[in-house]
Amino acid sequence: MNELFRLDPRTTLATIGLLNVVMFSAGFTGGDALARLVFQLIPALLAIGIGRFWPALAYLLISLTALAGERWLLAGELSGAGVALAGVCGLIARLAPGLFLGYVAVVSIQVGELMAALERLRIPRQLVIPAAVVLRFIPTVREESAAVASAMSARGISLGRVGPLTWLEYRLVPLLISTVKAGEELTQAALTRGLGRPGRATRICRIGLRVPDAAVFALCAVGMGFWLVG
Amino acid sequence: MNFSYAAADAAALADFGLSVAPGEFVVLSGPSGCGKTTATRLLNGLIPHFHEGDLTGQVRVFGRDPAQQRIWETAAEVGSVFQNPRSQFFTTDPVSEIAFGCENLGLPAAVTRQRVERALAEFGLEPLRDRSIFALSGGEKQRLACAAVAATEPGLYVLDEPSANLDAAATERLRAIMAGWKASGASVVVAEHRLGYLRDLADRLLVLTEGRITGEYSGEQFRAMDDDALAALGLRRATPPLPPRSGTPAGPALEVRDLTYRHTSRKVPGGGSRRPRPALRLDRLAIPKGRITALQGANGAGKTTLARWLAGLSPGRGGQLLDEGRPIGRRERRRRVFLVLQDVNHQLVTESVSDEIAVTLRLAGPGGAVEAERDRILAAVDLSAYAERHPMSLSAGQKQRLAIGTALASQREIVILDEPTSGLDLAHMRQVAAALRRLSEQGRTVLVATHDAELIAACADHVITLDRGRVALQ
Repeated sequence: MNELFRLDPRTTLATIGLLNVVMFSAGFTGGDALARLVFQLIPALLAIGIGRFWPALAYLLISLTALAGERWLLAGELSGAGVALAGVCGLIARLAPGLFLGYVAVVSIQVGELMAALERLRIPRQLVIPAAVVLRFIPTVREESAAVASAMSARGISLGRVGPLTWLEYRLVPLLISTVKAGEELTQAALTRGLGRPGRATRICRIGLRVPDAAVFALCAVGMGFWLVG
Repeated sequence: MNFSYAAADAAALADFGLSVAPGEFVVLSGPSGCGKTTATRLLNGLIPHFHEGDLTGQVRVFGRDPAQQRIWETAAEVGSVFQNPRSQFFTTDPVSEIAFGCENLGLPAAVTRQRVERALAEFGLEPLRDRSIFALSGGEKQRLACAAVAATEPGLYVLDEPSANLDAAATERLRAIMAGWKASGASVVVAEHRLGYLRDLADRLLVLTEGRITGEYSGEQFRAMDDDALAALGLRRATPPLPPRSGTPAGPALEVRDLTYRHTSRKVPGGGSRRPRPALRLDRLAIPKGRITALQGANGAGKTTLARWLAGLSPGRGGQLLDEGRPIGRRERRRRVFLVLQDVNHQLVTESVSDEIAVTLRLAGPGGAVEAERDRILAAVDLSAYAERHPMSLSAGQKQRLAIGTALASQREIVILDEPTSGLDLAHMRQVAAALRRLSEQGRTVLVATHDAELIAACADHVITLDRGRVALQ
């Protein structure tokens, strides 16, 4: 996994915003369809940028199939099942780009960068810190969840043997307890290191808009252009 | 000075007085729950700013009271390192992490950058600078935590069981780091069970029992104490016990043959991929049946990987487990092996100690009266008095024993434990050793992955040493 280019977190965040606007407001004909296609491709491009080729390919396959499937189904005669299938395809086509871009954002943005970027946007500290904590916490939840899954398996507790409700309880209770504990320890460590001091904290990580950011913005502009011209 | 937690019925600290001279190195020790962690929290301001309670008396750190000033003011002067390496970093990459404290203090960016570079070099973290913190080992994370704290150049370092999750080599590096702090003229206060690595550094040893100082020893007195004297105070030994017996065991054995295990390359935020050397490469490894075998080796030697493979949690290339010559496949291993993971919190799921055992008994389905069997097991792991308690309200040592109880209840004949005594005091370690012996008396084959030499001396019949995925000694 080699990074091809690195984006400023602000670029990624702006792209998420624009993409969702287009996905949920654009139509399906003429320029709108082209706009949709452009924004459908952007998340894959960003994923390739951080070296996630296979996830990018899988995403493209799924979302483009869904997009094509919806158009094809809606073009023909519609039976009941056809309507349902078209609905599912439509949902995937609209949601997948946003979800996948969210995934790309989570794996690519580092906590330090996010804080620097948000502070540079003059977003108040009361929002910056929670945002940073959430981003920091996602991998922890994933780690803890995998550990609980192993623990259940090691104890011989499986879905088939205890039933869905109990199974869910046995998965969730330890997960909640351990993530709450991790959160508490994280807070203590952060407090003893001066988080929350009033006044502007300095940030050393070098964020800034560079060529890749300009390229992504240009691509977004093309997509928006198609949409606005219609 | 007195302090009791808001929800506690007994005082966590009573008549406690401690004054630390500039450049002094103070060790706080004593059994679990003795109040040593509470004492560290008073120094770094987590009490009363994070943990609420009733505090009477005064705390003075560099002439100021951490209780009276904001916690970020204390943060500028007191650096804290905690027990759990996983949950004390705030960012996801080493450079931001070291910079974090300096940035919060508002140091100019140029100064921060300089300190980051210095810390990376001083703490041997340069090769790790582009890794994701999530991909670091426990020892590396703890070293990073020390580097991050040192970058703010505090006058007082406060450490709460910093070595609990470290192996011998990582503990030695920690010792060297702390020696450097002492040499630079900073004061150090460390709460610890493991005393060996602190022996030459300590200027003073305070022993706490139930919130009171019950012993105060100078550095010389501490160094003059032998292990029996420490044990009489309820403390862990300062010198590792004699190297345990080894040699190929007689009698029936489980055998691992030709196992190669390679982790899939890790994908982590901001990190590169690595295709590491195999975590395990074992030609032949014998585990005597019905005995307690210790599996020792440094962090990353492959202990946990082997434990997970044996339990059937992960596939390995070409390896075989033979039970007196008969191969046992992965499926069968999942049925016959019970694994107690390092963090038992993940494994305890019910609302009471007795339920925890009863649920396992019902899953295992040995038949007969569950209640009688449950009570017998609770007695065997010495938890009868806690039957109605919530598992999460138990101490770390009691949780380990409860997990061993579930292993008994599972009726599985092979029980593997991963670091069951990390962070345990002498009394709890001995109780865990007793529970392990109970397992083996009942005919179970026990494998304990551990770097606790005292636990090994207390219960192991046989020792296997792993070194970088290979058997070094068996």
